[in-house]
Amino acid sequence: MSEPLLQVRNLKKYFPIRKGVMRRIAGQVRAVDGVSFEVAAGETFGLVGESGCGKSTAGRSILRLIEPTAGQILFNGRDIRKLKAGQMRLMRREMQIVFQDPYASLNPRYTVRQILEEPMIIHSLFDSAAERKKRAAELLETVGLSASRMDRYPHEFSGGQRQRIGIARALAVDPKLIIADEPVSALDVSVQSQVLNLLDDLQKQLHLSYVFIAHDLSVVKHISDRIGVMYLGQIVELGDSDELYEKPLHPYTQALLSAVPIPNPEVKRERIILQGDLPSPANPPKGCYFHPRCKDVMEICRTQTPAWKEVEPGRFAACHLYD
Amino acid sequence: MSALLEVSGLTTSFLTASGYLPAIEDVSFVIEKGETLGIVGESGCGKSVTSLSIMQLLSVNGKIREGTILFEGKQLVGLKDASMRKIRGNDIAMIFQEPMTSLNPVHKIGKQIGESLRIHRGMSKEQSKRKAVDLLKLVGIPRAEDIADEFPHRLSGGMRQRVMIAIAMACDPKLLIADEPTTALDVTIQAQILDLMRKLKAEREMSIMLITHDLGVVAEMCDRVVVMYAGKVVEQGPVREIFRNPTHPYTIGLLNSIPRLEDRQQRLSSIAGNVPSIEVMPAGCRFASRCPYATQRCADNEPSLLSVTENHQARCWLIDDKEVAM
Repeated sequence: MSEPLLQVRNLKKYFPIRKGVMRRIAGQVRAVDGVSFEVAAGETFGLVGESGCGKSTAGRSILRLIEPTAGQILFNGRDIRKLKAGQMRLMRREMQIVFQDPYASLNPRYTVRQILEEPMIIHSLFDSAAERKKRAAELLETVGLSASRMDRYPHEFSGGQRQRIGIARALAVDPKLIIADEPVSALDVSVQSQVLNLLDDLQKQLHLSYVFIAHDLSVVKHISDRIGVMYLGQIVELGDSDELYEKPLHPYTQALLSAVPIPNPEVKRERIILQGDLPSPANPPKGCYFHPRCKDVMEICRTQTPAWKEVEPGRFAACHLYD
Repeated sequence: MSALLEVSGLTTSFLTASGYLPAIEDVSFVIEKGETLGIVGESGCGKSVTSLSIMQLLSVNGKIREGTILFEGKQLVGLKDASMRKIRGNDIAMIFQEPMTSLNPVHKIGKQIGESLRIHRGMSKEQSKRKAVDLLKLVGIPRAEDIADEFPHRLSGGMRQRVMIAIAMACDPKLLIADEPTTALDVTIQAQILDLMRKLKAEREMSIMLITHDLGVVAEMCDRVVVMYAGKVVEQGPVREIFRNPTHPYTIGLLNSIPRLEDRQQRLSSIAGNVPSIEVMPAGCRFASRCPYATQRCADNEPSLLSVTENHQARCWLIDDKEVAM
């Protein structure tokens, strides 16, 4: 395999908890606690997990929209954490983000054309307004909207259409990597499938790489080549998406998969119901973070953090069951 | 089995700048005793308006224009506020989607659960408090005595939804209306809550009207399903029948557009276009503009609910044509 497009190594983001008048640091929320993965060119890497697991923080840290606390982010072999602000801005031409909420992520005072032209202006991509306009029209057609609606405002579009505009904006600077943070979770199923198909088509046409962040396992499995499952700031399992579904290794992945309701009343299956709630990332349990909710918990899990290891070729997990 | 709730010809309109516009039209269905009925549809299809109409909790600009709602044979439409209040929270209880916003942040949890007991059952403060603790135990909340003295913000989303269920369960309702009860929750927590609802239903022989957009939840929880589109019932029938033999093109499209965990799909099929807006409802079938099988007849005339089998109906001309062809 050639050099991966994106390599994330031991990425950490700790948020300080401040207390008192002096705002002294009283503790840390370990939102992302040592996440590592790679994304090849043209590949889709899915990050899945429940709310509060740190998947969005991970996504934003990769773009340095949130400054990571530690770790390396190599894009085409360059460590982007070492870049200065100006260089980083240039780098963002290569890596873009699509946000979850298509209602909140488009400026309501801008027309669609202005929204699409803004990144071109920032990156001084075209010399004349006419060229920019032409490009904006192209982009709209690419994402399946009519260019004639370019001078309208976001509120005139439906949720699915707005998400298409968000995607077009990300494409405006010809990126190589798109981080899609829950791009379809605000949409209805019939519209969700339109947007998923669009992302699929764009990937093929433009040879894009995606980091696809979502909580919905069936969506992630559908779109991703490989999947990382996050729990409390860490990736607990990583592998090929079909294999991961066929034979989940980590007990958390098993519980997560069994919890998804299957849209077929004839199928009855064994369900693992997890007890309790997600522990707070400010005060994670000792040993394996998952042990208080794990059905296969052993003595060692309470005291020792499981190591990250390759259990089967291409399949990684952090669990004492595979020691 | 006998009908607990019978909704027929229900039309609810909202006052807008262009006059009264119907959000739901001619909605009819029955909920039997001990049955779980699922109401499915995408946003804006009128599923929540249906439930709010039954509970008579419509906002001031909303009005039931036509139709009847019979609960145990008693007509709820036009019932005086005072009489409706006796039913609401007592015989019919409701849980909402947002466990974060539907609890009162300034009252202790025990007090909120006890409220309906004090009102409907005339319990004293102490009695209702004790019952509240029992209810919290029933819905599987640990340290129930302590939690009863906590405020809602101290609890997680899943816990708050359990509290909502405890409130709904307080007066042993005959019908529980659950409006997207698990939409705001994570899958593992959703599994806990659905499990709890199933358990409570079996223990107390209550009926559930489950409103959701998630066909997975429907398949798992419901006995029968009503599929709504743009304010109308487009298909209804037993859950297995609907999933095995979906007949309305909308239901078929909906079922085909969900990504499935159990097999690999190269491409999802999707329903083109969007739901028509309430202001410009098409004259004929409301799904015609998005339907791959639409004919001129669909654009001109609206089909009524036609029988597919004995207890399975769909609002589509295709069924009619099939019969003609046969």
